[in-house]
This record gives sequence, structure tokens and C-alpha cells, in this order.
Amino acid sequence: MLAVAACVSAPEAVAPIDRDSLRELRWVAPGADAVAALTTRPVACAAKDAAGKESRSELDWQRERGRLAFESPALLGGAAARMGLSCASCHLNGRGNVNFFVEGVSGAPGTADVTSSLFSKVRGNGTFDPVPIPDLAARDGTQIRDRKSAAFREKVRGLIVEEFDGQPPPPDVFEAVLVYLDSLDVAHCADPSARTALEPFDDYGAAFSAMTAMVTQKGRPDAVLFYSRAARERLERLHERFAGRGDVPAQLEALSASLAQAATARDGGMPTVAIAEFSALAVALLNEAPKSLYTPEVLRAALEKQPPR
Amino acid sequence: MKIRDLMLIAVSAAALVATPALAAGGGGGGGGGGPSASSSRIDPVKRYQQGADLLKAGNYKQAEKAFDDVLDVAAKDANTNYMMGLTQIGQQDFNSARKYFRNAVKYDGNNATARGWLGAVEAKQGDAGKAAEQKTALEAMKVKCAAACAEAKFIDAAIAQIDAAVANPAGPMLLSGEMTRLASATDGNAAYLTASGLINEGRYEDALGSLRQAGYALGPHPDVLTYQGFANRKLHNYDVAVSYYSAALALEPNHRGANEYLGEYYVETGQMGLAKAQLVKLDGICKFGCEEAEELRRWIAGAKS
Repeated sequence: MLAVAACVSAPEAVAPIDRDSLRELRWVAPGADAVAALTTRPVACAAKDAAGKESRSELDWQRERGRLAFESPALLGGAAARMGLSCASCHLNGRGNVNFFVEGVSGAPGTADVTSSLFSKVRGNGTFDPVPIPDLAARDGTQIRDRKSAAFREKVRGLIVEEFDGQPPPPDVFEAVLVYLDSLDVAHCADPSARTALEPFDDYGAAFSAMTAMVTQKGRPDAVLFYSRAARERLERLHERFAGRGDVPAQLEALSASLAQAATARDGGMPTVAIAEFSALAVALLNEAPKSLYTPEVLRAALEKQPPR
Repeated sequence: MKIRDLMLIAVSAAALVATPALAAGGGGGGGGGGPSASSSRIDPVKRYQQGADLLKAGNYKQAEKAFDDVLDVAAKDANTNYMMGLTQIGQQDFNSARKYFRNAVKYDGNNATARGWLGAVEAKQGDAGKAAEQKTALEAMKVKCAAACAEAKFIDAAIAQIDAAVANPAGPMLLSGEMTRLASATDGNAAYLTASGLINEGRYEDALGSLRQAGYALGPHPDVLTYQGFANRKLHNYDVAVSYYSAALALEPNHRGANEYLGEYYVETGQMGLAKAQLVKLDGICKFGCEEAEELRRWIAGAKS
């Protein structure tokens, strides 16, 4: 398996992609290096799991659940969620996004009008006034310092419910988001300016973590539903980048259906078949990853066939 | 995440399988910016814009072909009928022009410019009574608009156009002035974004004005039609709303927004069986879940409680 994964072949004939087939293209600025924007991220500067432990602590899991929520459109509502945006679309790995651009919301790339009526029913101020997207890990005094404070809680609640028309999140989800945000600090990074490659197993791992959260939140239907949405959306990201790659798309669709069923099952249990499907998927991803749109050369070839915007 | 991490996840997955509390009773598994990029089968938006470009260039025959293609998939689109009317004016075929302008007015009675052209052609053909009907309708629009709406200048221009034709029916009828109103896709996207903001602010009448501009520039676009349906629904113009949703779904049967909003209309009017059918359809379209399905699910749940 490892040998197959290591064998990066030359790009095969790839299908053209557009903003419907790869949603992330919807917010990549015109003129940006789209390949770099879609295959790399600013390095994450979150607190790491406790070193040397065999398993994660509850705080570690809570932070992970917060990250999943932060990176899921399910946390938002209205036009943003419909577009596929999450908090992480602007704040990749909790940082900024210099390539972010949405027509009507952004001025220069990397800016957003947070008082726009396009995303909010209540925050619109009738003025186009985009501001630079801040790095949430920058503890430079320009943001609320105490992320355990009531003021910070209210700020985050307002962002979700008012600025982006989201539903009030389940309590576990909201608390987890706060823990995640509190973990962000450039002090955790040796080189905060570094970028890391996006790999298929980032999304696979996130989907798995979300599925685990469905299990651990058993008995809390709202939270189970939320994490099932987060898990399925990560599968969708894989689906977008593995389109036409063997059985992977069908496997992803089947797994998504299993997770949807699990979320609505009265006992809240995770069907064994879903877990088996998840394990089988890993093998298929390993085999097909070099030909997927996670691979810069393959993505570049597909982008060159992209219809004009 | 590296391959080593993947292996750890696979091990964790195996552990989950072996955990009775997780596996018990599971019961088995098994079992979608600006809108100008369209995904319909013949791209009516692209063809509409080709028609508009040909019309601008004075190539009326080719423009007619382009708009005819659009009408094949969107026969009731007011803007396309209006554009067809213009191609007929360009070819000095006033009988055909009248037919298409009449269609345009039939499918969008608030299209002031189409009313102006229809009245003018009717006057040119000696039917002053029919021309007066259009003028009366425009004057009613003007009262409702109270000079403050985005359409005010177009209403005034349309009334002036009819008056001029009534005063001089034998005068030439040319397109030169009209060409300045042919907008670009960029204008259409901007108008659509403006409308999106107005809808979020609850300013549905104003949004409809912007959506009309967007539709005029872009042609029959499912996103624009969907929002025209949405805004009309919010104004309780239910029949009009459903006609727009239907038009959007005719172009793109799996359009998420149109399917969601049609479902919400069914909830709003107590047709719960149909609302649930829309949700089933959306769940089928959104294989990985989507906000549209979740929102409709909330509407249905809210109606039950």
C-alpha cells in the first residue's frame, strides 16, 4: 500500500473542474495561485495533544470537535452555508486566508465585509466596508484577549447566529468551538509563516473524528446530527477531489448514507457497517490519492481546463 | 496528516468495531458568488448573452436564432420574449414583435420597457386603444412606484415611447436608444448580489427590481428565477412564486434552492405531504447533506410542533 501511495504518476487525462464541482474554488481570488491556494494551508498554531499519552484527553477531543465545527458549514446558516463556507474558509487552520475572495463581500483578496447583508439578516450596515481577515492565532491585542470571558462567548455566538445566520449551535458544539479558539496561538508554532500541504487524509481524518464525535455524543440528538453533517461534508470534499477515481466516489456516497442513517437512528448507535466502510475507504484513498485533486500536478491540469468564470 | 496517522486511524476504526456499545443495535447502514455560471443542459444563460451581443451588433437574424434556442427551454421567460421582440423590431417585422412583447408583458406584467414597446407597436399598427391600455398600466405602475423605485425612469421612458408612437404612428421605429439598456453579465451578477442583500434585509419589492435587472442581463438563470420566486412568496404572491420556482426547476430540476423554497411554500400553505416529498428529493440530491435540506427539515419539524 505504501509503495502504491509513493508512486506518483504523471497526470492522466483529467476532467475540467468548476465552482460547482470543487466548491473551494468559489472563494479563491481571481488571479491567485489557485493550485497553492487549494493544496496548502497556513500552518496550524493550535495547542497540540498532550505528548506521550496513548489516548487523547477529553480536552483534546473537545478541541478536536471544536476544530471540526469551525471547519464545517453546518455551524453557519443562510447564504454562507449554502455556498459551502465555514469559519475556516476565511481562517484556514484558524489563521487567515490571503486568497479569500467572494464577490460583493471582499474588496482586495484576503478581506471581507463582516457587515454585509449578503450573509446576514441583521448585521448589514448598508456600506461596503471590507476589512482584512485576521489571524485568529495572533495574540497581538487586536482581538479579545481572554477567550474564556463572557465577552468572547458573546462575540462568537454573535458571529455564528447573527453575522452568518446560523442556528444556535448545540451546547457541546459551542463549548468545543470556544475551546478550539482558545487553543490558537502563534506561540505554538516554530514558524508561523510556514504553509503545510493539504492531504486527503486530513479530510479523511476529520471525517473520522466527526464520526467518533457522533458516537461520544450519543444521547444528544442535536449534537449527533451536527457531527454527522460535519462528517458527511468532509466526505464531500473527498468526493470532489476523487471524482472519477475508481470506486472511491461510490464508497464515499455509501458511507455518507450510512452516517445519515446513523444520525437519525433512534438509539444513536453507529452501525458497524459504517465503520467497516470507513476502514475500506482508507485503502481506496491510498491507492487513488496520487491521481486525485489533492495532488498539485493533477489539480493544475484540471484547472487549465476550467471554463472561464 | 501522514500515512502513519492513517494507520492509527485504521486501528482506531477497528477498535470502534470491537466496542459493543458502539456497534450495538446499529441496524445496518447501506444506504451543490455571482450566479452567471450556469449548469443547465443547453446553457440558456450563455445563449441569451450571445443573443444580446448579436443584437448589439445589429445581427438580428442570428440574434433571433439565439433567443429562439433559449425559448425552446424557457418559453415563458419574459426577458427572452422581450429580446425576441427587439430582434423583430430590428427586422421591421412588427406583427412578430407585437406577439413577443405581448408574451413578455404576459409573463411579467411589471416589465415597464416591454409595455412601452408593446404600446408603441400597437400604436404604429393603428391600435390606439390597445396602446392606451399599456399606458394606463404604466401609469398605475408609476403611482405604485411613487417615483422612488428603481423602475421609475423606465416607466417614464415607456410612457413617453407610447405617446410618441401615438402622436406619429408613421414614424420610424428603430433600436438605437434601446441598445443602451443591454446590460452585461457583470451587471447581472452585480444586480443579483444586490438583490440577495435586499432579500436578507426583507426588502422584497426592491429585491424584485434588482432581480428583474439581473434577469434582463443574464437571461433565464435558475438562481435568479429562484429568488424571484422567493421574494414573491414573501410578498404572499403565491401563484407567481410557484411559477418562478417551476421555471427554475424546468431549467435545473436538481436546483437545491428552488427545491428547498418550493418545499417551504408547501409548508406555508399546509401541504405537508408535498413538503415532505420535496425533502426526500433534496436528500437525494444532496448525497453529503446540505443546508437547503436541513432548513426544509427545520420548517417541516416546526410545522409539526
